[in-house]
Amino acid sequence: MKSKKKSMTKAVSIVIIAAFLAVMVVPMFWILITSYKPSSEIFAKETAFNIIANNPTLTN
Amino acid sequence: MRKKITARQAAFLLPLFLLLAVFAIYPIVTSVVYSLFDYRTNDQQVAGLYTSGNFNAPLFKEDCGYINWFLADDITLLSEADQAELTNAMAKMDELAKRYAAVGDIQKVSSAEEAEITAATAAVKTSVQAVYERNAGVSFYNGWNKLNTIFNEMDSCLISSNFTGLAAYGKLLNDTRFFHSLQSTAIFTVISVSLELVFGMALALIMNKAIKGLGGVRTTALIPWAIPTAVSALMWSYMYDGSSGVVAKIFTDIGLIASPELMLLSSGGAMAAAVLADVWKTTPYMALLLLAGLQIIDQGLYESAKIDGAGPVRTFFGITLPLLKPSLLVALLFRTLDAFRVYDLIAVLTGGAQGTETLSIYAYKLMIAQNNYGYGAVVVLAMALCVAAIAFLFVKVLGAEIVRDD
Repeated sequence: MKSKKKSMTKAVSIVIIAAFLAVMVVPMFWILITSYKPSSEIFAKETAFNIIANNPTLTN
Repeated sequence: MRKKITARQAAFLLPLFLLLAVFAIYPIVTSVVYSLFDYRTNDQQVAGLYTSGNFNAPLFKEDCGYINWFLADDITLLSEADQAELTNAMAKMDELAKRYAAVGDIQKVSSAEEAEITAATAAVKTSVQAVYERNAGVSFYNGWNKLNTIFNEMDSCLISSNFTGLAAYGKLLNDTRFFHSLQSTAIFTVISVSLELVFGMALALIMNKAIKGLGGVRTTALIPWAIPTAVSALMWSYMYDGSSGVVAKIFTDIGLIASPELMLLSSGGAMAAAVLADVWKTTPYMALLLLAGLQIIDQGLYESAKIDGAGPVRTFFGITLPLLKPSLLVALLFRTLDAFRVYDLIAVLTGGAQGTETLSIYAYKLMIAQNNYGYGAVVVLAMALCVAAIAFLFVKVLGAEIVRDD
């Protein structure tokens, strides 16, 4: 019973830490994937929210 | 028992006091002095700290030169008598200009000298104006209007005192924009620091447990803190954008805001956006400060509490929180003062629009955008007073036992 409670606590802690890391890292990840998009894709409503660029570029 | 400081110890402290004097006391004293004057660098009449009458000799000399230059063009179109009158006026201008030829800067003048300059300039102006009015039908190269502009500018060569005493402080008490800025600053500070404290504490308590990979978590957690605030504000402003911002889109999809444009274009949305960006950036810093405090707490206390049957909530409030007080004081004090002084995040994200204008931004707009250093200094001193009051409150409420002498 005690070990089950301990595992639950550990699992909850890991979930919270994972959520925290996601919140910390996702904005920077979004900026990173945006840096590979051309300007036309960054500001166009149809392509602004794509994770992978249609025409990735290194010119930025 | 208090120990007396010896001469040798005082000598070691001397560099610290000198640094304090140069970087802390001197700016405050200068701000106080500026606050007593109507000091605006975009207005020649008040572009310095004048306690008595002053005379802008270089500008006066320049204006005399312009008058003679314009008269020299127009004089050729006049009769002999009028030419003689204008030549006389030009000679008087030359004489006045020569008197101050050697003076390179604004100089103090007595009221007698002020009266003499005013009278001499007025006399020349009257005689020149009379000549032009007598010859109203002549098509002059320059004409009276141009000369009148120069004569009017000569009035501003005489600068009276701009010492206003405490009048600016009275103006501050009736300044609604100052109180709106104070309100915005207070709202931003209270909400962001509260959220950072709650999330930071939760994170610190979890990171205090021995979980595999926590070293990597701590390193990753510091990355937002390492990004310069202006850069992270630009990053968030892009994500809040009304047409292509991913955060604005997500908030619209989950129903937090009616449309993506409202994220930065509504007053509640703009403040929430600034708070979110600040909490994202600074929660890891708060968590790490608190984690440092948690790690020095003796684990034996927790074991004893467990044996006595205390639950997690009782343990937290009975053991963790009291022993964490010094770290909590430091973390809260630093973060509250930082949040109160916020400038770069708000300036880049909203520019102070939509009700997000904080005291720092108001002071910046006064001093740099409007060149109003006198009143700007008053706002800055009011801010410094608020900061001192916050620090005093924290030490009194949270830190009384910590700073007590034994």
